[in-house]
Amino acid sequence: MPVIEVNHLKKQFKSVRKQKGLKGAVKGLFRSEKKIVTAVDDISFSIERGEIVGYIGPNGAGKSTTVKMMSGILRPTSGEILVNGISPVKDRKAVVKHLGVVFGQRTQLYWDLRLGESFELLKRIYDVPDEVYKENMSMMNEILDLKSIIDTPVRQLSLGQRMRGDLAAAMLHSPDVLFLDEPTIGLDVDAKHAIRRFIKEINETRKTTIILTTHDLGDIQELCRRIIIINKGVVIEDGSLDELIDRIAPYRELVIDFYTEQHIEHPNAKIVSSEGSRTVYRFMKDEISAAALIEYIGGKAKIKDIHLEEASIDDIIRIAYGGSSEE
Amino acid sequence: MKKFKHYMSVAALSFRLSMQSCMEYPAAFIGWLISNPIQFLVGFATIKFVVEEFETLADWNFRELAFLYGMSVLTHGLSVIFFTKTWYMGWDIIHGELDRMRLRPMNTLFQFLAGDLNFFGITDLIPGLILFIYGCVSVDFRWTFSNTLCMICALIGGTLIRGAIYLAFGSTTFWTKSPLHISGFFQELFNRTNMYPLSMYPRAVQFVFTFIMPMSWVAFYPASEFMGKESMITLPYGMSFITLGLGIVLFAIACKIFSAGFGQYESAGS
Ligand SMILES: Nc1ncnc2c1ncn2[C@@H]1O[C@H](COP(=O)(O)OP(=O)(O)OP(=O)(O)O)[C@@H](O)[C@H]1O
Ligand SMILES: [Mg+2]
Repeated sequence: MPVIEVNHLKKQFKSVRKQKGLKGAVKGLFRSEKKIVTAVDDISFSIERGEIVGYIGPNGAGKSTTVKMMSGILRPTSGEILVNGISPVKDRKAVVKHLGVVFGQRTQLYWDLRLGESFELLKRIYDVPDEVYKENMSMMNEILDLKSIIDTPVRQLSLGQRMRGDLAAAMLHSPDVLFLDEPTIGLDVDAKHAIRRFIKEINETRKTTIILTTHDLGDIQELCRRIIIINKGVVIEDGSLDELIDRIAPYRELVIDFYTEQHIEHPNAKIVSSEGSRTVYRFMKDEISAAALIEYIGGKAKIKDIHLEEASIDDIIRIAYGGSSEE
Repeated sequence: MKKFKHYMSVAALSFRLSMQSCMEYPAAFIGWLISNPIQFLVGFATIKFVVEEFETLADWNFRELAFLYGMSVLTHGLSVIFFTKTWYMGWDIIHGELDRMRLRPMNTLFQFLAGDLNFFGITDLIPGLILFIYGCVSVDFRWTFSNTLCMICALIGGTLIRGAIYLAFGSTTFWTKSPLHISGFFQELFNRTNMYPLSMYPRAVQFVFTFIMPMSWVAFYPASEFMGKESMITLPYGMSFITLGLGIVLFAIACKIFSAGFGQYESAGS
Protein backbone atom coordinates (compact mmCIF):
# COMPACT_ATOMS: atom_id res chain seq x y z
CA MET A 1 0.00 0.00 0.00
CA PRO A 2 1.41 3.42 -0.90
CA VAL A 3 2.26 5.71 2.02
CA ILE A 4 1.08 8.79 0.19
CA GLU A 5 -1.59 8.95 -2.45
CA VAL A 6 -2.67 12.11 -4.18
CA ASN A 7 -5.51 12.07 -6.67
CA HIS A 8 -6.50 14.96 -8.92
CA LEU A 9 -5.54 17.49 -6.33
CA LYS A 10 -6.56 21.08 -6.97
CA LYS A 11 -6.17 24.29 -5.01
CA GLN A 12 -7.45 27.69 -5.96
CA PHE A 13 -6.88 30.82 -3.93
CA LYS A 14 -9.44 33.54 -4.06
CA SER A 15 -7.77 36.83 -3.58
CA VAL A 16 -9.14 40.31 -3.66
CA ARG A 17 -7.55 42.29 -6.41
CA LYS A 18 -6.17 45.48 -4.92
CA GLN A 19 -6.68 48.48 -7.11
CA LYS A 20 -3.95 51.01 -7.50
CA GLY A 21 -3.79 54.32 -5.71
CA LEU A 22 -6.04 55.97 -3.20
CA LYS A 23 -8.92 56.17 -5.63
CA GLY A 24 -8.64 52.46 -6.25
CA ALA A 25 -8.52 51.72 -2.53
CA VAL A 26 -11.68 53.72 -1.92
CA LYS A 27 -13.39 51.99 -4.82
CA GLY A 28 -12.24 48.67 -3.42
CA LEU A 29 -14.17 49.36 -0.25
CA PHE A 30 -17.41 49.13 -2.14
CA ARG A 31 -16.78 46.80 -4.98
CA SER A 32 -13.99 44.28 -4.75
CA GLU A 33 -12.84 42.30 -7.72
CA LYS A 34 -12.18 38.67 -6.88
CA LYS A 35 -9.24 37.10 -8.57
CA ILE A 36 -8.80 33.35 -8.65
CA VAL A 37 -5.31 31.91 -8.64
CA THR A 38 -5.00 28.24 -9.46
CA ALA A 39 -1.90 27.20 -7.54
CA VAL A 40 -2.37 23.47 -7.99
CA ASP A 41 -4.43 22.41 -10.96
CA ASP A 42 -4.47 18.64 -11.26
CA ILE A 43 -1.82 16.65 -9.45
CA SER A 44 -1.75 12.90 -8.87
CA PHE A 45 1.03 10.65 -7.64
CA SER A 46 1.62 7.87 -5.22
CA ILE A 47 4.66 7.22 -3.08
CA GLU A 48 5.79 3.99 -1.48
CA ARG A 49 7.31 3.51 1.92
CA GLY A 50 11.01 4.39 2.16
CA GLU A 51 11.20 6.45 -1.03
CA ILE A 52 12.96 9.80 -1.23
CA VAL A 53 11.16 11.76 -3.89
CA GLY A 54 12.39 15.06 -5.26
CA TYR A 55 9.41 17.34 -5.81
CA ILE A 56 10.64 20.06 -8.07
CA GLY A 57 9.47 22.77 -10.39
CA PRO A 58 10.05 26.46 -11.11
CA ASN A 59 9.00 29.25 -8.73
CA GLY A 60 5.27 29.42 -8.30
CA ALA A 61 4.73 25.93 -9.71
CA GLY A 62 2.64 24.91 -6.72
CA LYS A 63 5.13 22.83 -4.73
CA SER A 64 4.66 24.47 -1.35
CA THR A 65 0.92 24.55 -1.86
CA THR A 66 0.92 20.79 -2.44
CA VAL A 67 3.02 20.21 0.67
CA LYS A 68 0.68 22.39 2.71
CA MET A 69 -2.34 20.42 1.55
CA MET A 70 -0.68 17.09 2.28
CA SER A 71 0.22 18.27 5.76
CA GLY A 72 -3.27 19.52 6.56
CA ILE A 73 -2.46 23.24 6.60
CA LEU A 74 -4.56 24.01 3.55
CA ARG A 75 -7.83 22.50 2.52
CA PRO A 76 -7.84 21.35 -1.13
CA THR A 77 -10.40 22.85 -3.48
CA SER A 78 -10.95 19.36 -4.82
CA GLY A 79 -9.21 16.04 -5.10
CA GLU A 80 -8.10 13.52 -2.56
CA ILE A 81 -5.07 13.01 -0.35
CA LEU A 82 -4.27 9.97 1.73
CA VAL A 83 -1.29 9.84 4.05
CA ASN A 84 -0.89 6.44 5.66
CA GLY A 85 -4.38 5.77 4.40
CA ILE A 86 -5.86 8.76 6.26
CA SER A 87 -7.16 11.97 4.73
CA PRO A 88 -5.72 15.12 6.31
CA VAL A 89 -8.97 16.90 5.48
CA LYS A 90 -11.05 14.45 7.46
CA ASP A 91 -8.69 13.65 10.30
CA ARG A 92 -5.90 16.19 10.45
CA LYS A 93 -4.74 15.20 13.92
CA ALA A 94 -4.34 11.51 13.06
CA VAL A 95 -2.26 12.42 10.01
CA VAL A 96 0.07 14.96 11.60
CA LYS A 97 0.83 12.66 14.50
CA HIS A 98 3.05 10.62 12.21
CA LEU A 99 4.25 13.47 10.05
CA GLY A 100 7.31 15.71 10.20
CA VAL A 101 7.28 18.94 8.20
CA VAL A 102 10.01 21.49 7.60
CA PHE A 103 9.57 24.69 5.65
CA GLY A 104 12.91 26.24 4.85
CA GLN A 105 11.29 29.61 4.32
CA ARG A 106 9.56 29.73 7.67
CA THR A 107 10.35 28.12 10.96
CA GLN A 108 7.83 25.93 12.71
CA LEU A 109 9.66 26.50 15.99
CA TYR A 110 8.47 28.98 18.58
CA TRP A 111 10.24 32.31 18.12
CA ASP A 112 10.44 33.29 21.75
CA LEU A 113 11.54 29.96 23.16
CA ARG A 114 15.02 28.54 23.38
CA LEU A 115 15.59 25.67 20.98
CA GLY A 116 15.70 23.17 23.84
CA GLU A 117 12.45 24.53 25.25
CA SER A 118 10.81 24.17 21.87
CA PHE A 119 11.86 20.52 21.83
CA GLU A 120 10.50 20.05 25.33
CA LEU A 121 7.17 21.53 24.33
CA LEU A 122 7.00 19.37 21.20
CA LYS A 123 7.81 16.30 23.25
CA ARG A 124 4.84 17.14 25.44
CA ILE A 125 2.56 17.91 22.48
CA TYR A 126 3.34 14.66 20.67
CA ASP A 127 3.43 12.78 23.94
CA VAL A 128 6.80 11.24 23.14
CA PRO A 129 7.95 8.65 25.71
CA ASP A 130 11.16 9.54 27.54
CA GLU A 131 13.30 6.75 26.08
CA VAL A 132 12.24 7.52 22.52
CA TYR A 133 12.91 11.22 23.08
CA LYS A 134 16.36 10.54 24.48
CA GLU A 135 17.24 8.22 21.66
CA ASN A 136 16.04 10.66 19.00
CA MET A 137 17.78 13.58 20.65
CA SER A 138 21.10 11.79 20.79
CA MET A 139 20.82 10.78 17.16
CA MET A 140 19.94 14.35 16.11
CA ASN A 141 22.73 15.69 18.23
CA GLU A 142 25.18 13.49 16.47
CA ILE A 143 24.13 14.36 12.92
CA LEU A 144 23.06 17.95 13.39
CA ASP A 145 25.35 19.07 16.22
CA LEU A 146 22.73 20.78 18.31
CA LYS A 147 24.66 21.08 21.57
CA SER A 148 26.02 24.52 20.85
CA ILE A 149 22.65 26.03 19.97
CA ILE A 150 20.25 24.26 22.30
CA ASP A 151 20.12 27.16 24.78
CA THR A 152 19.73 29.91 22.21
CA PRO A 153 16.34 31.52 21.64
CA VAL A 154 15.06 30.56 18.21
CA ARG A 155 14.83 34.18 17.09
CA GLN A 156 18.61 34.53 17.60
CA LEU A 157 19.62 31.50 15.52
CA SER A 158 21.29 31.92 12.14
CA LEU A 159 19.49 30.49 9.14
CA GLY A 160 21.59 27.32 9.08
CA GLN A 161 21.31 26.80 12.84
CA ARG A 162 17.58 27.33 12.69
CA MET A 163 17.23 24.84 9.88
CA ARG A 164 19.08 22.22 11.93
CA GLY A 165 16.72 22.96 14.78
CA ASP A 166 13.70 22.66 12.51
CA LEU A 167 14.88 19.31 11.17
CA ALA A 168 15.47 17.94 14.64
CA ALA A 169 12.08 19.23 15.77
CA ALA A 170 10.42 17.49 12.85
CA MET A 171 11.98 14.18 13.88
CA LEU A 172 11.35 14.21 17.62
CA HIS A 173 8.23 12.11 17.43
CA SER A 174 9.79 9.60 15.00
CA PRO A 175 7.45 10.37 12.10
CA ASP A 176 7.37 7.87 9.27
CA VAL A 177 6.72 10.53 6.66
CA LEU A 178 8.77 13.68 6.27
CA PHE A 179 7.96 16.68 4.06
CA LEU A 180 10.94 18.93 3.49
CA ASP A 181 10.17 22.13 1.60
CA GLU A 182 13.46 23.73 0.62
CA PRO A 183 15.46 22.60 3.66
CA THR A 184 18.74 23.73 2.12
CA ILE A 185 17.68 27.20 1.01
CA GLY A 186 20.31 29.81 1.74
CA LEU A 187 22.72 27.41 3.44
CA ASP A 188 26.48 27.27 3.01
CA VAL A 189 28.24 24.20 1.63
CA ASP A 190 28.94 22.61 5.01
CA ALA A 191 25.41 23.09 6.27
CA LYS A 192 24.02 21.67 3.03
CA HIS A 193 26.15 18.60 3.39
CA ALA A 194 25.11 18.12 6.99
CA ILE A 195 21.48 18.27 5.96
CA ARG A 196 21.92 15.88 3.06
CA ARG A 197 23.72 13.45 5.35
CA PHE A 198 20.85 13.78 7.78
CA ILE A 199 18.25 13.01 5.13
CA LYS A 200 20.18 10.00 3.90
CA GLU A 201 20.71 8.60 7.34
CA ILE A 202 17.12 9.03 8.43
CA ASN A 203 15.93 7.35 5.27
CA GLU A 204 18.34 4.45 5.58
CA THR A 205 18.04 3.72 9.28
CA ARG A 206 14.34 4.41 9.73
CA LYS A 207 12.85 3.82 6.31
CA THR A 208 11.29 7.25 6.59
CA THR A 209 9.41 8.27 3.45
CA ILE A 210 10.62 11.69 2.35
CA ILE A 211 9.31 14.27 -0.07
CA LEU A 212 11.95 16.87 -0.76
CA THR A 213 11.35 20.18 -2.46
CA THR A 214 14.41 22.06 -3.56
CA HIS A 215 15.92 24.31 -6.19
CA ASP A 216 19.37 22.86 -5.46
CA LEU A 217 19.99 20.19 -8.03
CA GLY A 218 22.86 18.85 -5.97
CA ASP A 219 20.28 17.81 -3.39
CA ILE A 220 18.37 15.95 -6.06
CA GLN A 221 21.40 14.29 -7.55
CA GLU A 222 22.67 13.12 -4.21
CA LEU A 223 19.41 12.05 -2.61
CA CYS A 224 16.57 11.29 -4.96
CA ARG A 225 16.18 8.25 -7.12
CA ARG A 226 12.79 9.48 -8.20
CA ILE A 227 11.70 12.95 -9.12
CA ILE A 228 8.34 14.50 -9.78
CA ILE A 229 8.50 17.67 -11.79
CA ILE A 230 5.55 20.01 -11.74
CA ASN A 231 4.87 23.21 -13.57
CA LYS A 232 1.83 25.48 -13.42
CA GLY A 233 0.12 23.10 -11.03
CA VAL A 234 0.36 19.92 -13.09
CA VAL A 235 2.79 17.02 -13.10
CA ILE A 236 4.98 17.09 -16.18
CA GLU A 237 7.44 14.33 -15.30
CA ASP A 238 7.40 11.51 -12.79
CA GLY A 239 10.10 8.90 -12.86
CA SER A 240 13.63 7.94 -11.96
CA LEU A 241 16.30 10.55 -12.47
CA ASP A 242 18.40 8.24 -14.68
CA GLU A 243 15.48 7.41 -16.87
CA LEU A 244 14.67 11.09 -17.24
CA ILE A 245 18.23 11.90 -18.23
CA ASP A 246 18.22 9.09 -20.77
CA ARG A 247 15.04 10.32 -22.27
CA ILE A 248 15.56 14.05 -22.30
CA ALA A 249 19.27 14.02 -22.98
CA PRO A 250 20.33 10.59 -24.19
CA TYR A 251 23.64 11.97 -25.45
CA ARG A 252 27.05 12.71 -24.02
CA GLU A 253 29.77 15.03 -25.12
CA LEU A 254 33.39 14.08 -25.56
CA VAL A 255 35.87 16.94 -25.46
CA ILE A 256 39.25 16.17 -27.01
CA ASP A 257 42.35 18.33 -27.07
CA PHE A 258 44.75 17.37 -29.81
CA TYR A 259 48.29 18.65 -30.27
CA THR A 260 47.37 20.21 -33.57
CA GLU A 261 44.17 21.20 -35.30
CA GLN A 262 42.32 18.07 -36.44
CA HIS A 263 39.16 17.22 -38.25
CA ILE A 264 38.36 13.58 -37.56
CA GLU A 265 34.82 12.34 -38.20
CA HIS A 266 32.95 9.30 -37.02
CA PRO A 267 29.55 8.15 -38.35
CA ASN A 268 28.08 7.87 -34.82
CA ALA A 269 29.43 11.14 -33.44
CA LYS A 270 28.51 14.63 -34.41
CA ILE A 271 31.03 17.39 -34.16
CA VAL A 272 29.47 20.13 -32.09
CA SER A 273 32.38 22.52 -32.19
CA SER A 274 35.94 22.62 -33.36
CA GLU A 275 38.11 25.48 -32.19
CA GLY A 276 41.84 25.34 -32.64
CA SER A 277 43.08 22.03 -31.37
CA ARG A 278 39.91 21.30 -29.34
CA THR A 279 37.05 19.30 -30.81
CA VAL A 280 33.76 18.47 -29.12
CA TYR A 281 31.84 15.37 -30.21
CA ARG A 282 28.27 14.55 -29.27
CA PHE A 283 27.17 10.92 -29.39
CA MET A 284 24.25 8.76 -28.34
CA LYS A 285 24.97 6.46 -25.44
CA ASP A 286 23.24 3.54 -27.05
CA GLU A 287 25.00 3.92 -30.39
CA ILE A 288 28.61 3.98 -29.34
CA SER A 289 30.54 3.81 -26.11
CA ALA A 290 32.94 6.53 -25.10
CA ALA A 291 35.81 4.04 -25.04
CA ALA A 292 35.18 2.92 -28.63
CA LEU A 293 35.01 6.51 -29.81
CA ILE A 294 38.24 7.46 -28.04
CA GLU A 295 40.00 4.42 -29.41
CA TYR A 296 38.89 5.26 -32.94
CA ILE A 297 39.98 8.87 -32.75
CA GLY A 298 43.18 8.00 -30.92
CA GLY A 299 44.07 5.75 -33.80
CA LYS A 300 43.89 8.72 -36.18
CA ALA A 301 45.68 11.42 -34.25
CA LYS A 302 47.61 11.93 -31.07
CA ILE A 303 45.40 12.97 -28.15
CA LYS A 304 46.68 15.37 -25.52
CA ASP A 305 43.72 15.42 -23.13
CA ILE A 306 40.13 14.29 -22.95
CA HIS A 307 37.08 14.70 -20.81
CA LEU A 308 33.52 13.51 -20.95
CA GLU A 309 30.48 15.64 -20.24
CA GLU A 310 27.07 14.37 -19.27
CA ALA A 311 24.15 16.60 -20.00
CA SER A 312 24.00 18.51 -16.72
CA ILE A 313 21.02 17.94 -14.50
CA ASP A 314 20.55 21.67 -14.74
CA ASP A 315 19.99 21.39 -18.47
CA ILE A 316 17.68 18.45 -18.06
CA ILE A 317 15.48 20.21 -15.60
CA ARG A 318 15.46 23.35 -17.66
CA ILE A 319 14.40 21.39 -20.71
CA ALA A 320 11.75 19.58 -18.74
CA TYR A 321 10.35 22.84 -17.30
CA GLY A 322 10.30 24.49 -20.68
CA GLY A 323 9.01 21.40 -22.41
CA SER A 324 11.45 21.98 -25.25
CA SER A 325 14.87 20.60 -25.98
CA GLU A 326 17.80 22.67 -27.11
CA GLU A 327 18.11 20.93 -30.42
CA MET B 1 -9.83 11.61 30.42
CA LYS B 2 -6.39 10.75 29.12
CA LYS B 3 -6.90 13.37 26.46
CA PHE B 4 -7.86 15.96 29.05
CA LYS B 5 -4.74 15.18 31.06
CA HIS B 6 -2.62 15.52 27.95
CA TYR B 7 -4.12 18.92 27.14
CA MET B 8 -3.66 20.09 30.72
CA SER B 9 -0.05 19.03 30.75
CA VAL B 10 0.65 20.87 27.49
CA ALA B 11 -1.16 23.94 28.84
CA ALA B 12 0.91 23.83 32.02
CA LEU B 13 4.19 23.66 30.14
CA SER B 14 3.14 26.40 27.69
CA PHE B 15 2.20 28.50 30.68
CA ARG B 16 5.61 28.05 32.27
CA LEU B 17 7.47 28.66 29.02
CA SER B 18 5.59 31.81 28.09
CA MET B 19 6.23 33.16 31.56
CA GLN B 20 9.93 32.45 31.11
CA SER B 21 10.08 34.02 27.69
CA CYS B 22 8.37 37.21 28.93
CA MET B 23 11.06 37.43 31.56
CA GLU B 24 13.61 37.60 28.78
CA TYR B 25 12.48 41.09 28.02
CA PRO B 26 13.10 42.70 31.41
CA ALA B 27 13.23 46.23 30.03
CA ALA B 28 9.83 45.87 28.40
CA PHE B 29 8.44 44.32 31.54
CA ILE B 30 9.67 47.16 33.74
CA GLY B 31 8.39 49.68 31.21
CA TRP B 32 4.90 48.23 31.35
CA LEU B 33 5.17 47.81 35.11
CA ILE B 34 5.61 51.55 35.42
CA SER B 35 3.31 52.84 32.69
CA ASN B 36 0.31 50.57 33.12
CA PRO B 37 -0.42 51.23 36.80
CA ILE B 38 0.00 54.96 36.18
CA GLN B 39 -2.65 54.83 33.50
CA PHE B 40 -5.14 53.30 35.91
CA LEU B 41 -4.18 55.53 38.79
CA VAL B 42 -4.85 58.51 36.55
CA GLY B 43 -8.24 57.02 35.76
CA PHE B 44 -8.83 56.60 39.43
CA ALA B 45 -7.80 60.18 40.17
CA THR B 46 -10.15 61.41 37.46
CA ILE B 47 -13.05 59.67 39.15
CA LYS B 48 -12.08 61.23 42.46
CA PHE B 49 -11.88 64.67 40.91
CA VAL B 50 -15.23 64.31 39.19
CA VAL B 51 -16.94 63.09 42.33
CA GLU B 52 -15.49 65.92 44.39
CA GLU B 53 -17.12 68.30 41.92
CA PHE B 54 -20.51 66.59 41.87
CA GLU B 55 -20.54 64.61 45.16
CA THR B 56 -22.29 61.70 43.54
CA LEU B 57 -22.69 60.45 39.98
CA ALA B 58 -26.14 59.09 39.26
CA ASP B 59 -26.43 58.25 42.92
CA TRP B 60 -23.02 56.50 43.13
CA ASN B 61 -20.57 57.90 45.68
CA PHE B 62 -16.80 57.76 45.42
CA ARG B 63 -16.38 54.49 47.34
CA GLU B 64 -18.95 52.72 45.19
CA LEU B 65 -17.31 54.07 42.05
CA ALA B 66 -13.95 52.77 43.25
CA PHE B 67 -15.55 49.35 43.68
CA LEU B 68 -16.97 49.46 40.14
CA TYR B 69 -13.66 50.60 38.71
CA GLY B 70 -11.79 47.87 40.61
CA MET B 71 -13.98 45.14 39.13
CA SER B 72 -13.60 46.56 35.67
CA VAL B 73 -9.81 46.93 35.77
CA LEU B 74 -9.43 43.44 37.26
CA THR B 75 -11.32 41.82 34.36
CA HIS B 76 -9.28 44.02 32.04
CA GLY B 77 -6.04 42.67 33.54
CA LEU B 78 -7.21 39.08 33.22
CA SER B 79 -8.27 39.60 29.63
CA VAL B 80 -4.88 41.08 28.77
CA ILE B 81 -3.17 37.94 30.07
CA PHE B 82 -5.44 35.50 28.30
CA PHE B 83 -6.54 37.25 25.13
CA THR B 84 -3.84 39.67 23.96
CA LYS B 85 -3.04 37.19 21.24
CA THR B 86 -6.34 37.97 19.54
CA TRP B 87 -5.28 41.59 19.04
CA TYR B 88 -2.57 40.59 16.61
CA MET B 89 -4.23 37.58 15.08
CA GLY B 90 -5.04 39.43 11.86
CA TRP B 91 -1.35 39.86 11.27
CA ASP B 92 -0.69 36.21 12.12
CA ILE B 93 -3.40 35.08 9.72
CA ILE B 94 -2.24 37.03 6.69
CA HIS B 95 1.40 36.14 7.31
CA GLY B 96 0.69 32.42 7.60
CA GLU B 97 1.82 32.25 11.22
CA LEU B 98 -0.95 29.85 12.12
CA ASP B 99 0.54 27.07 9.96
CA ARG B 100 2.28 25.50 12.92
CA MET B 101 -0.97 25.04 14.80
CA ARG B 102 -2.24 22.94 11.95
CA LEU B 103 0.87 20.80 12.03
CA ARG B 104 0.45 19.77 15.65
CA PRO B 105 -1.90 16.98 16.64
CA MET B 106 -3.99 19.14 18.96
CA ASN B 107 -7.04 21.33 18.74
CA THR B 108 -6.16 24.58 16.98
CA LEU B 109 -8.21 26.86 19.22
CA PHE B 110 -6.57 25.35 22.27
CA GLN B 111 -3.13 25.94 20.79
CA PHE B 112 -4.07 29.46 19.84
CA LEU B 113 -5.33 30.44 23.26
CA ALA B 114 -3.16 28.38 25.60
CA GLY B 115 -0.02 28.48 23.50
CA ASP B 116 1.01 32.01 24.13
CA LEU B 117 -0.22 33.71 27.26
CA ASN B 118 0.87 37.28 27.74
CA PHE B 119 2.55 37.60 31.09
CA PHE B 120 3.16 41.26 30.54
CA GLY B 121 -0.51 41.42 31.40
CA ILE B 122 0.57 41.08 35.02
CA THR B 123 1.36 44.76 34.82
CA ASP B 124 -2.33 45.37 34.16
CA LEU B 125 -3.42 42.77 36.66
CA ILE B 126 -1.47 44.29 39.55
CA PRO B 127 -3.20 47.70 39.45
CA GLY B 128 -6.43 45.79 38.81
CA LEU B 129 -5.98 43.82 42.00
CA ILE B 130 -4.98 46.85 44.02
CA LEU B 131 -7.98 48.86 42.84
CA PHE B 132 -10.25 45.87 43.34
CA ILE B 133 -9.09 45.33 46.92
CA TYR B 134 -9.31 49.04 47.60
CA GLY B 135 -12.86 49.10 46.22
CA CYS B 136 -13.94 46.07 48.22
CA VAL B 137 -12.51 47.47 51.43
CA SER B 138 -13.96 50.92 50.96
CA VAL B 139 -17.51 49.69 50.39
CA ASP B 140 -16.96 47.04 53.06
CA PHE B 141 -17.78 44.19 50.68
CA ARG B 142 -19.02 41.16 52.65
CA TRP B 143 -17.29 37.95 51.57
CA THR B 144 -20.22 35.70 52.37
CA PHE B 145 -20.55 32.46 50.43
CA SER B 146 -23.18 33.88 48.14
CA ASN B 147 -21.31 37.15 47.54
CA THR B 148 -18.06 35.32 46.85
CA LEU B 149 -19.75 33.01 44.38
CA CYS B 150 -21.42 35.93 42.62
CA MET B 151 -18.16 37.86 42.51
CA ILE B 152 -16.26 34.94 40.97
CA CYS B 153 -19.00 34.48 38.35
CA ALA B 154 -18.96 38.17 37.54
CA LEU B 155 -15.17 38.32 37.16
CA ILE B 156 -14.99 35.22 34.97
CA GLY B 157 -17.98 36.37 32.94
CA GLY B 158 -16.56 39.87 32.50
CA THR B 159 -13.21 38.50 31.35
CA LEU B 160 -14.93 36.15 28.90
CA ILE B 161 -17.12 38.90 27.43
CA ARG B 162 -14.05 40.99 26.74
CA GLY B 163 -12.19 38.01 25.25
CA ALA B 164 -15.16 36.94 23.14
CA ILE B 165 -15.42 40.34 21.46
CA TYR B 166 -11.67 40.47 20.72
CA LEU B 167 -11.64 36.90 19.39
CA ALA B 168 -14.75 37.29 17.24
CA PHE B 169 -13.59 40.51 15.59
CA GLY B 170 -10.02 39.24 15.26
CA SER B 171 -11.32 36.19 13.40
CA THR B 172 -12.86 38.33 10.65
CA THR B 173 -9.43 38.44 8.99
CA PHE B 174 -9.87 34.78 8.04
CA TRP B 175 -12.48 36.01 5.57
CA THR B 176 -11.43 39.56 4.76
CA LYS B 177 -7.68 38.78 4.54
CA SER B 178 -6.94 42.14 6.02
CA PRO B 179 -6.41 42.80 9.72
CA LEU B 180 -9.08 44.75 11.52
CA HIS B 181 -7.38 46.96 14.09
CA ILE B 182 -10.40 47.37 16.23
CA SER B 183 -9.58 45.64 19.52
CA GLY B 184 -7.99 48.77 20.96
CA PHE B 185 -11.23 50.59 20.31
CA PHE B 186 -13.26 47.87 22.02
CA GLN B 187 -10.92 47.84 24.98
CA GLU B 188 -11.40 51.58 25.40
CA LEU B 189 -15.12 51.11 25.13
CA PHE B 190 -15.11 48.34 27.76
CA ASN B 191 -12.99 50.39 30.12
CA ARG B 192 -14.84 53.67 29.70
CA THR B 193 -18.36 52.32 29.88
CA ASN B 194 -17.49 50.61 33.16
CA MET B 195 -15.70 53.57 34.70
CA TYR B 196 -18.81 55.59 35.42
CA PRO B 197 -22.29 54.30 36.14
CA LEU B 198 -24.16 53.59 32.94
CA SER B 199 -27.27 55.10 34.54
CA MET B 200 -25.82 58.62 34.24
CA TYR B 201 -25.96 58.42 30.43
CA PRO B 202 -29.04 59.11 28.25
CA ARG B 203 -31.38 56.14 27.94
CA ALA B 204 -30.44 55.53 24.32
CA VAL B 205 -26.81 55.10 25.30
CA GLN B 206 -27.79 52.81 28.16
CA PHE B 207 -29.85 50.75 25.76
CA VAL B 208 -26.96 50.40 23.32
CA PHE B 209 -24.44 49.23 25.90
CA THR B 210 -26.93 46.84 27.44
CA PHE B 211 -28.61 45.20 24.49
CA ILE B 212 -26.65 45.98 21.36
CA MET B 213 -23.10 45.90 22.62
CA PRO B 214 -22.67 43.99 25.87
CA MET B 215 -20.11 46.36 27.39
CA SER B 216 -21.93 47.16 30.60
CA TRP B 217 -22.31 43.56 31.63
CA VAL B 218 -18.57 43.34 32.19
CA ALA B 219 -18.70 45.17 35.52
CA PHE B 220 -21.45 47.75 35.73
CA TYR B 221 -24.48 45.45 36.11
CA PRO B 222 -22.97 43.03 38.61
CA ALA B 223 -21.53 45.95 40.57
CA SER B 224 -24.87 47.75 40.68
CA GLU B 225 -26.48 44.65 42.10
CA PHE B 226 -23.79 44.37 44.77
CA MET B 227 -24.29 48.06 45.57
CA GLY B 228 -28.07 47.83 45.40
CA LYS B 229 -28.40 50.47 42.68
CA GLU B 230 -31.26 51.10 40.30
CA SER B 231 -30.39 50.86 36.63
CA MET B 232 -32.00 50.13 33.30
CA ILE B 233 -32.26 46.52 34.34
CA THR B 234 -32.77 45.88 38.00
CA LEU B 235 -32.96 42.39 39.36
CA PRO B 236 -33.22 41.39 42.99
CA TYR B 237 -30.53 38.75 42.49
CA GLY B 238 -28.50 37.02 39.83
CA MET B 239 -26.96 39.79 37.74
CA SER B 240 -23.56 38.09 38.11
CA PHE B 241 -24.95 34.88 36.73
CA ILE B 242 -26.23 36.73 33.70
CA THR B 243 -22.75 38.15 33.23
CA LEU B 244 -21.25 34.67 33.44
CA GLY B 245 -23.89 33.16 31.16
CA LEU B 246 -23.46 35.95 28.64
CA GLY B 247 -19.70 35.50 28.81
CA ILE B 248 -19.96 31.78 28.16
CA VAL B 249 -22.43 32.16 25.31
CA LEU B 250 -20.53 34.97 23.61
CA PHE B 251 -17.26 33.14 24.03
CA ALA B 252 -18.72 29.95 22.60
CA ILE B 253 -19.96 31.93 19.59
CA ALA B 254 -16.54 33.53 19.19
CA CYS B 255 -14.90 30.08 19.27
CA LYS B 256 -17.28 28.89 16.56
CA ILE B 257 -16.41 31.91 14.45
CA PHE B 258 -12.71 31.22 14.99
CA SER B 259 -13.07 27.57 14.01
CA ALA B 260 -15.17 28.36 10.95
CA GLY B 261 -12.58 30.96 9.98
CA PHE B 262 -9.69 28.55 10.46
CA GLY B 263 -11.47 26.27 8.00
CA GLN B 264 -10.96 29.06 5.46
CA TYR B 265 -7.35 29.59 6.42
CA GLU B 266 -5.16 30.03 3.38
CA SER B 267 -1.71 30.33 4.92
CA ALA B 268 0.59 32.73 3.06
CA GLY B 269 2.49 32.71 -0.20
CA SER B 270 5.88 31.44 0.88
N1 LIG C 1 -1.80 31.85 0.58
C1 LIG C 1 -1.85 32.16 -0.72
N2 LIG C 1 -2.76 33.05 -1.16
C2 LIG C 1 -2.82 33.37 -2.46
N3 LIG C 1 -2.03 32.86 -3.41
C3 LIG C 1 -1.11 31.96 -3.04
C4 LIG C 1 -0.97 31.57 -1.68
N4 LIG C 1 0.02 30.65 -1.60
C5 LIG C 1 0.48 30.47 -2.85
N5 LIG C 1 -0.19 31.25 -3.73
C6 LIG C 1 0.03 31.31 -5.19
O1 LIG C 1 0.02 29.99 -5.68
C7 LIG C 1 1.06 29.78 -6.63
C8 LIG C 1 1.92 28.60 -6.21
O2 LIG C 1 2.66 28.95 -5.06
P1 LIG C 1 3.62 27.95 -4.30
O3 LIG C 1 4.10 28.64 -3.08
O4 LIG C 1 2.95 26.65 -4.13
O5 LIG C 1 4.81 27.78 -5.32
P2 LIG C 1 6.17 26.98 -5.19
O6 LIG C 1 6.18 25.94 -6.24
O7 LIG C 1 6.37 26.53 -3.79
O8 LIG C 1 7.23 28.10 -5.57
P3 LIG C 1 8.67 28.44 -4.97
O9 LIG C 1 9.63 27.59 -5.69
O10 LIG C 1 8.84 29.87 -5.34
O11 LIG C 1 8.63 28.20 -3.51
C9 LIG C 1 1.78 31.10 -6.75
O12 LIG C 1 1.28 31.75 -7.89
C10 LIG C 1 1.40 31.86 -5.52
O13 LIG C 1 1.32 33.23 -5.77
MG1 LIG D 1 7.69 27.01 -2.24
